[in-house]
Amino acid sequence: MENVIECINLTHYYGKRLIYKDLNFAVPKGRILGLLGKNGTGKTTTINILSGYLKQYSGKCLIFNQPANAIEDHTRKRIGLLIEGHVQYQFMNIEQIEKFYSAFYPGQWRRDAYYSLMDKLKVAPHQKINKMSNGQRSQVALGLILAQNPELLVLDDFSLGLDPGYRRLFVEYLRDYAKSEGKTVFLTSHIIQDMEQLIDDCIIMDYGKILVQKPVKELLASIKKYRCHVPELQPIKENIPKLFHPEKHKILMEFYSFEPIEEVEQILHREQVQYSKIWAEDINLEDAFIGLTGKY
Amino acid sequence: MLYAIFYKEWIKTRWYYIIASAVLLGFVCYAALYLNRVGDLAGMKNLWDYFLIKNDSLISIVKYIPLIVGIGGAVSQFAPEMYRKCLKLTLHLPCNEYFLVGSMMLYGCGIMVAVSIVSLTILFLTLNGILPPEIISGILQASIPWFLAGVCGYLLTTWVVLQPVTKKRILQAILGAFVLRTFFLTDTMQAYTPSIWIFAATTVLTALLTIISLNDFKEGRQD
Repeated sequence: MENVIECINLTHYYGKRLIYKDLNFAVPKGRILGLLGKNGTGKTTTINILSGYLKQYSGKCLIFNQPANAIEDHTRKRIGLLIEGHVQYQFMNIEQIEKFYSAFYPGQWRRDAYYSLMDKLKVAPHQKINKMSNGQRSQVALGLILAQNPELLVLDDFSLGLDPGYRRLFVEYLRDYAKSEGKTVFLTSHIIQDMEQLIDDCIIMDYGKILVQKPVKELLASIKKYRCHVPELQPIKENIPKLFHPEKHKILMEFYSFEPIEEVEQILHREQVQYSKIWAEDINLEDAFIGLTGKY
Repeated sequence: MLYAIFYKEWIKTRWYYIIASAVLLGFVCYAALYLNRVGDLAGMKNLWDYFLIKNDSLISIVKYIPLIVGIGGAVSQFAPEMYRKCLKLTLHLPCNEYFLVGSMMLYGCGIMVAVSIVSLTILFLTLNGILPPEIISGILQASIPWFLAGVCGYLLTTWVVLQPVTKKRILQAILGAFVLRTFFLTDTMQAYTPSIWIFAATTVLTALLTIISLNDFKEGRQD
């Protein structure tokens, strides 16, 4: 399958601080990929490199087979960008901003798509964007992207500052649009519940590296949360291979693993962990994220 | 596309430029009326003598106003772009980045040049008939560096505001202040006449400095 985004051995430092080293990932055409990670793991750094606003320390980052920091004008028309916080020209109103952007996308601009979304906002056409709520601003930003009708959408933390209603509206609108039109989407968000409804594939990042990159369905089918009873005074053993982030609450120990229950039991025996009654639970994407990256 | 950029800049800065231009033109009109009034009270002959002996243009009240208008113009145009990260949106538009920022600067410079020409025209029309052409020419030549300082101040401030690295921004501001200082070293009429072309060339060249800040922004340099 053709890759719309391809990052090869991407490495970046801020000063002497390593953000990540030799990051490799690709976003195939027509897929919605979510980049998940705690604060400071390099999500916005990756978006900035992809958007051409940050020169990577080393490695390659290609969009439509062009280096991200030297994208040609006609290729940039094919990329829709949503900046963290739904940044837009706040001094404009919804009519002025549509008029401004439409001049740059002749032949592809869908005025109707923008105004059909704006009709739902219940704001006066002459109301300035800086007088709108975060939710309304997010809809303006989304409306402009829909009107641009790009092949690739790059969305940085689209859920920032949105209440649950607007988040749901944003997710549903975006998913319908992307799936019906075969668009490719690369996005980040702090709110992982939203991602589960939206994305096909996920990359889970920890400090300096990618922990997992696979389709969400495959991830959720393979990772389990395990619980078992342990002696109350038994100290918790950390760094057990293949068991992630074990935690103990009195006599209940819990951890996450990709291994089946039989394999998990063998590991516990090998590590001389005393336990009784062990069971596995299916988890959602947020739990999988916590399971892989830890709470802290 | 140029029209669209001008449209955006106009919506963003129209109130600033309308008010600032009115203030500048107000000062220019006041200076012109002041010369007329001094002529009426002291007599035109004495006024002519004053110009010839003292070599003072008598309109120094206008001196720093174009510079203030230019600096304020650059801040009103580019500070919101940097503060609210809108510059990323602008640079994401499907046009050459230098063209996009150049168009924004063309808009600001265009207004500064237009207001300067109107100001000089007001001075010329008001003084024409009461002062001999040589003295009018001297007064206008004395004021041209101030108006050029307005445009230069606009361009240098753009260079400073677009710089994303604080230390570099401070260094650039200090360098910019030194450059602007040269426009105001003397009030003596015609002292700057031989240098006006040098000032004009300096002003044009300062426009190129913005490329440095823009490249730093594009490469994501920060503190």
